[in-house]
Amino acid sequence: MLVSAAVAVQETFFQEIIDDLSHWLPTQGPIKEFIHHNTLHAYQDRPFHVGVRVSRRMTGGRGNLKLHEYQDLYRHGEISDRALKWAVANVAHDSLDSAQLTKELLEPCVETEEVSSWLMRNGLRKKGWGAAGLAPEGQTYPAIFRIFGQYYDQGIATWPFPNSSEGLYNAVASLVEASWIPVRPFHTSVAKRLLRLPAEKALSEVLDAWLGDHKYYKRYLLETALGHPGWSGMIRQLELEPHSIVIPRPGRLIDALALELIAEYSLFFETLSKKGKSKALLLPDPEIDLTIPAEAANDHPVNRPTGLERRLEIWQEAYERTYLDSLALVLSQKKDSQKKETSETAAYQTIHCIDDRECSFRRHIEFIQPRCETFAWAGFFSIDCLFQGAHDTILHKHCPQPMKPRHVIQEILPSKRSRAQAVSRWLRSFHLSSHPNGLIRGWLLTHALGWVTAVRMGLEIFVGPGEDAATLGALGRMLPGSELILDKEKGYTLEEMADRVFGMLKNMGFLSKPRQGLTVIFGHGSTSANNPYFAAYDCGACSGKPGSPNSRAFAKMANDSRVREILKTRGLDLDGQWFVGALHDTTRDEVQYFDAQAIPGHFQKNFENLKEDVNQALLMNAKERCLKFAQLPPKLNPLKALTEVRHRSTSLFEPRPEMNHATNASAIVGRRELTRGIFLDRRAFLNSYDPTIDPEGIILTGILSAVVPVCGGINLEYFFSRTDPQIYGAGTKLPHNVSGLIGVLNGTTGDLLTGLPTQMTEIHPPLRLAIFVEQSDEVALLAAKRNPSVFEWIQNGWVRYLSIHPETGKIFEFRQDRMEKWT
Amino acid sequence: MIAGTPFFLLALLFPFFGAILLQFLRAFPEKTIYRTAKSVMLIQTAWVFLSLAFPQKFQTHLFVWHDYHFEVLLELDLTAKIFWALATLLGGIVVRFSLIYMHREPGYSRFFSTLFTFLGGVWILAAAGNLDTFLIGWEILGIASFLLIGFYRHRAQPVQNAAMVYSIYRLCDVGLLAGAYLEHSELRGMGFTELMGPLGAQGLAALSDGNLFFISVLLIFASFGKSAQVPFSSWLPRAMEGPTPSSAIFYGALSIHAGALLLLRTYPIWSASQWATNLILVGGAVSALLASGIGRTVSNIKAQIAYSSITQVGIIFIEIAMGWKDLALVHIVSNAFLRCYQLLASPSVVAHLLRVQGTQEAKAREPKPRKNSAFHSTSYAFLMSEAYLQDLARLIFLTLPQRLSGWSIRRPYGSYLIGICVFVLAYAKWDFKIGAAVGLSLALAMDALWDATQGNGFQDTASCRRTFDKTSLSSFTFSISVSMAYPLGWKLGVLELLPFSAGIIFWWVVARVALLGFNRNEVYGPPWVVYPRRSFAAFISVLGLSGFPISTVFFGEDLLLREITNVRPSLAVAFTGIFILNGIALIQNYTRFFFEPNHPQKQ
Repeated sequence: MLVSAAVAVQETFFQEIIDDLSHWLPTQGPIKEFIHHNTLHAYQDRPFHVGVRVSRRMTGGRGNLKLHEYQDLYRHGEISDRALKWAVANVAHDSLDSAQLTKELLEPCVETEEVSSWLMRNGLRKKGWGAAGLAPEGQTYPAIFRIFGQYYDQGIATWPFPNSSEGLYNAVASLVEASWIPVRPFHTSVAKRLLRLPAEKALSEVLDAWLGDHKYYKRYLLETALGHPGWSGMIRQLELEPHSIVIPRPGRLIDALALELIAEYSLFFETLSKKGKSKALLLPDPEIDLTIPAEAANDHPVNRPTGLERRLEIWQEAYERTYLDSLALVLSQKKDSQKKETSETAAYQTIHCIDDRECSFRRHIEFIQPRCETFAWAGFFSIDCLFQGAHDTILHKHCPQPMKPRHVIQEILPSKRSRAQAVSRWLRSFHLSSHPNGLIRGWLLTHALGWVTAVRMGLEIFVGPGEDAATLGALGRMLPGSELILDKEKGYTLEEMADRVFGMLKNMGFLSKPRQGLTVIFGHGSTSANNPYFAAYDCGACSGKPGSPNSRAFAKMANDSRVREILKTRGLDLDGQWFVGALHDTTRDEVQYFDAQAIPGHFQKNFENLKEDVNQALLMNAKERCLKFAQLPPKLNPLKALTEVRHRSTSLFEPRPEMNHATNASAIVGRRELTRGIFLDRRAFLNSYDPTIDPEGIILTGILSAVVPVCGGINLEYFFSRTDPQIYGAGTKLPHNVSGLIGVLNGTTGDLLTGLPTQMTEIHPPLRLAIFVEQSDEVALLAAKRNPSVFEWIQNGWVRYLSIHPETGKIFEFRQDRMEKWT
Repeated sequence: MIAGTPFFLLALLFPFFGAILLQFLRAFPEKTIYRTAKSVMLIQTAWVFLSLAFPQKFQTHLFVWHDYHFEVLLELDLTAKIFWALATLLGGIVVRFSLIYMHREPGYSRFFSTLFTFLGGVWILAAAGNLDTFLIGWEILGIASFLLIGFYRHRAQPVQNAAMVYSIYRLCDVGLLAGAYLEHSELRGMGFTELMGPLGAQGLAALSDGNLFFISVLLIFASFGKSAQVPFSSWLPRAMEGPTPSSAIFYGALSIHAGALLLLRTYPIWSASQWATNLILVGGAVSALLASGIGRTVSNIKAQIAYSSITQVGIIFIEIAMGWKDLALVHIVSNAFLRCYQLLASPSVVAHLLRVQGTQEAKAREPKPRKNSAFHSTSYAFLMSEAYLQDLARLIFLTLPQRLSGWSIRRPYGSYLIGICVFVLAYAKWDFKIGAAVGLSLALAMDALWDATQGNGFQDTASCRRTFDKTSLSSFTFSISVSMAYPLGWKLGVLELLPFSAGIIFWWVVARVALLGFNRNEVYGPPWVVYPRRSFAAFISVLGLSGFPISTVFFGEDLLLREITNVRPSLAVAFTGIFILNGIALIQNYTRFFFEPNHPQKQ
């Protein structure tokens, strides 16, 4: 009774510690679902610059460019004088003479930048092990990373970890116990003894031996976990969301830490105990400072900015201000100039995702067909669903990350032929599987496949990849000839369908005037070959999947006569309109239309015209995109450009199939009249919003609840992967090696990598997202405040928030709790 | 000298010209480098195809000293032609791949320069007509591997792994060096074609069984090391640190089959010894079985491909041992293409396997979970630990030198203790002076290794200088000790070995000049970036001191071996030790000092 109580107390004790320190670990889950999120979201409750600083103290990552980079940008005119003056006036902490400060900013700094994190430099591990002259990581890391990799493996190894249903710790313990040969690093008798205990007990025994007093445990465990943030974060994510991997692998972060510490103990206990001490073998000196910067106040001495950091903050603000100035100027001028309401009937309507890549696509469609109207809404088109493809047994979530969908929609294939197609496709890509198939079979296969591979490789690399490579793209793609079922057992009821259709159309401002004709809903997805980050290129609003099921489902719902009956009772008459779902492949600049055969005859001509216009728009879109690819000549005719981008999407050796969200800098929520015709250079997320139907800002709050986390998350992920590719980002993707299908690492023995590779972020200027809403300043502020989690982003400055008045065009900026006029 | 057609010579020399040219283009815009690399490859392909169409033979004495000749013999027989075609095709594929893949990567020019050096080495290796020339190609492969594994120098892991791989290469190279030397002395240095003929058979018959086995074992040792067979398999997965195309062409395709090529070429020698043949059979079989098993448990794709490749190479070794040489050649080619492609396409395994995984077909084939027996657990544990091969390597390369030269952190003079022991033994068997010299050189070599691996390498310029001093002094002293044994007097002995000792002195001077006035603590950033010329000078001096075929030390090693065999055959053991220890010490010292980044974060 007493023993179990003690055990329970221990468990709670460690549970709390783990819960606390997990805040400071990366939250990137398995790579097949790459969700962009704020890399520093754990510090979001602090103001931006403070959060960046604190994170630097914890992990050593930079949240700013280097000083000389800012100075170079200034010299090249990318940071304007005006912005610099503004930054000096508004951001400087001390009341230094601004002329003096400006001068100082342009000089090289004598402070050298620290290269490691404050936490680790002043940590128990560094001081304790350092005093003993040992570095345990060199011996423990290779062994435990291998164990983690093999335990969590999702299909690369053909021999799964034994007893994996027992949990990480127990599986390893069983293995060590059952094996007749020693399993390094648990080969010593002390390790074997410890492994027979439950994880918490073993952990407390080791920590007791290492440190003695309980108060040091948390700090030590935090440093241990932060020594390999990739694996720690991944294990914690898999603990919290075990269903994010297909093959279940129960395991807890505390298991992992326990294993690592037992390994340390096993390898070094003897050496350390020779010092004569019997306890607290690693404790350097009892007066050590145990402050964890992330848990300290903003003005705690450790979190205060150094002189260099102060300068970097001013430069960063100036850099962002430069872009903001020019964008705000353009938007306010646009407001002044636009007045006329077009009274012509629209040729057709299109609805896109808010993605920044769609902004140029919309612009081109409008240019080619001035009478069309384009709208944008979050790419899941309010269809919160779990999607099951024709050949899949698992359900994929196709809505934003925080949502928990209950409805299931399915794709079915009518004929058997396609199953054979799938099998043949599998066979054709068989050579990719390097699974050792037994000696004789492997020998035969090598001979058989080797020569075939030679030909295939030669063709793929010299001539150009076949279309098969294209099918190695994202999951969740619609197959030709398939049908979408919406209302099976777990599907949608007609009422629910009507809710969604009505909700989205109303909130978007689609219903502001009577419409007719075709409306195409473009979901977007991406195709790339040889790219483990493929999920990062797909729609973020669909949790890193293509928006094809969503757009197709919405169209089907809106076309359904029964749904239209219900909508009529709510005052929405959709007769005379037809909706078509489509998928815009952003890498290949290709469009696939769904259920086109179901379009009624009188819309066909309209549809043909639309297809032609869209094809033209795709050509021009491709040409615009090719301007950013350095290896292509600047003058490229559109047809050549389209061929080039299609080639890039299937090329084995193109590490930049498309630029994705690189260069994103703003989000504009408002009517299309505000942004129509402006060249935003694919840097703006656009969301349709009609201020006239939203006097209280309720719709705006709903929009912001999606836009701020999604677009802000994307923006900050790119921001931090750009400013520090080694720590916040994943470095260059050239040496990347896929581990267990859940992550990538460099080489074969390192920690998992988090963040984006440099190939995705190198052209991205790190600017915080500037959100413009077309609304009066009071309503804009009200709408933002209504959702506290959204408001946290804005209040602490992780995104900028500006409002532009629908009538006067005056711009207000959120600064320190209220909206101030932008100057 | 029989002149070959111009194409043949051009095909052999042009890649190195291309490599040097690309080194000079480092600061040029990427477009220029792109065009240069592309043209070099295209032109080289032209030379190769012309050579294949008009094959010739090329023979010359590259180095002559007194009555010693170093003969370079190159010819294109069928095996060479196949390898040339393979290397050209794969080289072309990888170059085309990398021209786009490496876009905007720092080190774009350096990559292609090293790649062409590697390919040049492969062309020499394949066309080599005798073991000496073969050794030149082999060494070039080793250095190119080292440079490309350590391509990313801002992280500690690639650099450390590069040094580790080179150390293993160094260990196994001794086999080839000694084997080549013995082939000289016992078989008059016959070329490969000659060996297959009646003269070869005669020569081989004249050898005693023991000698034959000994030579064979040396050659097998070298081939097992290079082709990552057991017990040397552990370096291959750890060599996958460079950009994917370099891993593909080295460890997928070409470099890993170099051992098999060696066995193919020296077939007449070892096949005459039943024991040697059995050794290859057993070694290949064990490697294939073990690697196949380990490959089932590894969880990252590149290591899995590496182990699949080792399995197939093991089978190739079996095929060669059974005498099915043509089958082995076919197998080499198909394995090369398959692994190269698998490595190049390895990032796509996520999308590929996930597609396969979630399908209904896969669900049907899923294995049922079952209770694991002790045997199951034991085998899993064994394979999961990579058959303890890495632990073995660690023991040999880290723990043993640590123990030998230090015993503990506080007594680094253990090496001198060993030296004294050797001296005492030597005194008993040889004579006082030779014994002292040999003991001293061994002690210095071990101490240098200690300095290079345990000392505070990357911050201590004095330690770097000391290592250079010690390794040079060690080699020099050893050559003096051999001279002293020379029957005609030590002065003539020194003269005889002058290429070696003069080379050592020359390269030592180069190293010291490179480090002149250099204080690491005043340099913010890794030295190879901040002081490229010094680093380059230090690098070539490392190559020179360790006997890379750009210096007279390379020929000097052969000379040394000849002297040893003539006067004191038992000194060969000491020679081996010094060769290995110094080589490893030099490379570890160089990488720790010049490459290693300041902050070992995010490895």
